[in-house]
Amino acid sequence: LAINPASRGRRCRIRPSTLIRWPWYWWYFETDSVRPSEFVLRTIPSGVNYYTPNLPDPVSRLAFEPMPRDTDGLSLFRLDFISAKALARRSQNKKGVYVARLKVADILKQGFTVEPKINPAVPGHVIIPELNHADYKKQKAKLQDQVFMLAKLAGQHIVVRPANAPK
Amino acid sequence: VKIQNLSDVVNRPGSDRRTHNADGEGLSKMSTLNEAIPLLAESRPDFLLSAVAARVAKEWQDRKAELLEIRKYDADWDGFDSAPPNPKLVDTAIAFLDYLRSRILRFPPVRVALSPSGTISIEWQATNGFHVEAEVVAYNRIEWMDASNPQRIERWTEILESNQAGNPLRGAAWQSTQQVEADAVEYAQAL
Repeated sequence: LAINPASRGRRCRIRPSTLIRWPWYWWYFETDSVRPSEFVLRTIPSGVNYYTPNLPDPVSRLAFEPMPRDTDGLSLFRLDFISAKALARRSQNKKGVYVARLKVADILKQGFTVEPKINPAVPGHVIIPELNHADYKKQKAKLQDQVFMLAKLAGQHIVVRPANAPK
Repeated sequence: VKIQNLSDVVNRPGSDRRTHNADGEGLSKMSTLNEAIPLLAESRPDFLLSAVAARVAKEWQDRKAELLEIRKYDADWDGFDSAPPNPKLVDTAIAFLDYLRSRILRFPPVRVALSPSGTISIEWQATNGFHVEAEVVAYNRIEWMDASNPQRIERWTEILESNQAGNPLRGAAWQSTQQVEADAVEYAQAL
């Protein structure tokens, strides 16, 4: 196998679900294509009304709207490479973050793609390239519908909450 | 609870609908909101209790307080380097909220939030799937979205003609805050 581990990014975490999907986990790197059976994580800033637990749709679609800095796409993180708690700990948000879990298959159903993009600071970084800031501004109406559906899905699986956040 | 008609009344004609001055056609359409929506009030007997009316009034106050809080956001307000909000746009959202309060007093929004791109979202939801959002995108422009049926999300634009450049922010189309608050007190007392 002509593999240069340095160019393929970090290896996946060793956990039962990774071992089931990837018996040869030792050869599973973060640059490998994202599979529909995987889960990805999205951080949602706390204290800005993007998550309201008592609502039918608790996550605002604004939590999935690309920011000006999202020039290449919306950032997500692969659960096979970083745990939700570890991701929340690494966030630079002073008020803390919520972490939502989404199945990649559900994202694909909305017409998006999910591509690996190595981030030296956080393992398992992937992007939804269609949700880059420039395209979002141009095709807001179309993409807003899809983003709304992502937020709806995310609201069903909030896996980490900030320490002092309401349940 | 059947409240899907909110969007039908607020703005659903398929093209831009304009909100005119106080005596204009636009406002007279808006004034039919209370008649057109089978309100939560009519479907919940306990709504007749003044305590619940007070709760509704508090919801409006909370949303306004949240907008005032948003106005104070600095750069990096979300921890992701986002730019600070435009105070004039937040003021537009506050004035628009007052305007909505005067028209749909018994139906307060459930969430307001600032988007990463600086627009302000005002949101209504109910347990029957009802989901409507108004996004303040410019001083005179509101983009509405009805996502009550996720398979057929509808959107339309409302132009606030009284809020064109050069006119005062709280134009003739909107009642003053004092008037709106007086109406709220009157409404609570009537219950």
